[in-house]
Amino acid sequence: MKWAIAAVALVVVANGVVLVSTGRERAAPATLSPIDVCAGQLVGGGTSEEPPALRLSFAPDSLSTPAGLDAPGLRALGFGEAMIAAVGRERDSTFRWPRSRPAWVRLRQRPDSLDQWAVVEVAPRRELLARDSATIVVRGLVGVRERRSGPSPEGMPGHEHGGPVRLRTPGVIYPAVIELIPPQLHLDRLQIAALRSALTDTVRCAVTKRAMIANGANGGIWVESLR
Amino acid sequence: MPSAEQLRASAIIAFRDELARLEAEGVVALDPATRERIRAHHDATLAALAAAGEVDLSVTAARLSAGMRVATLLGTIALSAAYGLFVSAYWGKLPLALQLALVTLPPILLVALTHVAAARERSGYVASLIATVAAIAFAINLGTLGQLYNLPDSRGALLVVGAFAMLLAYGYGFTLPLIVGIGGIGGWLWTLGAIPLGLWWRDGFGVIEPLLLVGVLALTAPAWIRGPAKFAPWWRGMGATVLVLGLLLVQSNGEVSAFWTTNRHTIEIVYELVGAVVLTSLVVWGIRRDQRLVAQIGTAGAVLYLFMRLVDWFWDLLPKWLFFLLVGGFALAVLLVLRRVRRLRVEAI
Repeated sequence: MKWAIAAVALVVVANGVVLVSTGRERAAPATLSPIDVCAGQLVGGGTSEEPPALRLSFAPDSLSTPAGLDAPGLRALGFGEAMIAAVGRERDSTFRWPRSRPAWVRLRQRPDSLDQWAVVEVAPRRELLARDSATIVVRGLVGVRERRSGPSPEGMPGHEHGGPVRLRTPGVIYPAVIELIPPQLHLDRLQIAALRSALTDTVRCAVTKRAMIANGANGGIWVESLR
Repeated sequence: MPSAEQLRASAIIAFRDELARLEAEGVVALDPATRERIRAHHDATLAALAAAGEVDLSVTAARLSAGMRVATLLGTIALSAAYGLFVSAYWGKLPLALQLALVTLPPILLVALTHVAAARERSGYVASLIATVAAIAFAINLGTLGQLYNLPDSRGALLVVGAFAMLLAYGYGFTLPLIVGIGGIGGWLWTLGAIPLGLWWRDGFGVIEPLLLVGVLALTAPAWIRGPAKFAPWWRGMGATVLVLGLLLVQSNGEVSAFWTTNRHTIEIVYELVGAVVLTSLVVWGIRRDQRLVAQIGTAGAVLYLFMRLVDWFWDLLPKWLFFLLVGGFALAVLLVLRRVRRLRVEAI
């Protein structure tokens, strides 16, 4: 019996810790950021079996380098000197792809493409990021990508599905945020119902609805309300 | 793996068969009083074993038990899938309180059900199934909480679910939750390797050295964790499997090593040497300590290791027919060595 009680206690404590800590954080949001939501950002709801959520899509191949991804920033994130030296250069045969590093990321909704976010700033610790009502802060992973100047193999003549794979020419190495954690924000049933009924344009972002995204004092993030 | 009770019952049944054969061949002739005393003692022992737990007293019963074990596993998978799909089908339409209740209560109720089933059913098949589903329900519980509150995924969930499964395994003597527990806690320990490397916890799964340590810990766990004797082979078996797989992986791809920023080729050579020593040690350890599973896993790993080395060394050098002839020759050599070891063991007996 004592083992069963210990197992139940473990369930209760684990759930209690999560519920109490998130409840406290959500009672007093640190920042509130208004954003425009369009249908393309929504996941689930209605007859879908996916849980309802607001997707945080970002443009991975942005041409501008966000603040915090320069040499000192990369060093602070834990990247090695060899990788830092390779940034901005064409990848050579000695280059070793580094493992991604956890970071805190500040995002701003792109005015030209509302369903996408632009990475504004990256830092190893949350306290290092500036806070304002136009941006949100989430965790993320910083890695290395390769930017090719020539046409992609898919665009090359003769490249067909199942055909021979061409050797790709090396591109220029650049650091980038490769993943956001979490990749989407939960919406409760009332929020998803309101958004689904208001956002009738499911192709473009012609119809939008305003939402308030809250950041908590301990790094939490959630959809506070819809306007 | 047979329990201690089952091994004793099987020994008694085998003794009776062999005694009948010896008497029929005229080798021994026990006087009726002695034979009756032995029979009465064995009958009482079998009755006590049957009362203490489910033991198979015939080949048919053993086959039925094997079927029950397969049914247990299938039942566990099916019940877990049913629960997960039910929750996902109605999830978006439920208020938060109901969502929380739907994920928080099942593990608690399933623990209570495990307790009741363990008390009522001696074989433990149903209770073991329920305990495993409880562990899976708890994992879903924590995962869903994370999703509801946009929490980052965490290695802590592995530890908590592993500890939960261990409590049920050691509390009631179930092996299926033990496997979940070893997986959970082992996975948590594996990801700790990400901390000194400054990686996100999930990327810790891409580093092999902590996995090798987990394998060693699991292999030696029966020496420092008290529990049912039937758990020991599972600990050792999982530890040996993890060790073998980890070594085979890192020696063929140095990038999964924590030291991969140094020369990858050097790492692979070092681990080839480590692999040769460790796999041989596993086989020797398994044979000397009479741990058949460890010896078997070590042998399988050593054969795979040899095959991979042969591919590395000779695939590009030799014509294909000669390569496979060489592999066949090596397999024969391994067979001869093992046969000699076996003969020595038999002679020692």
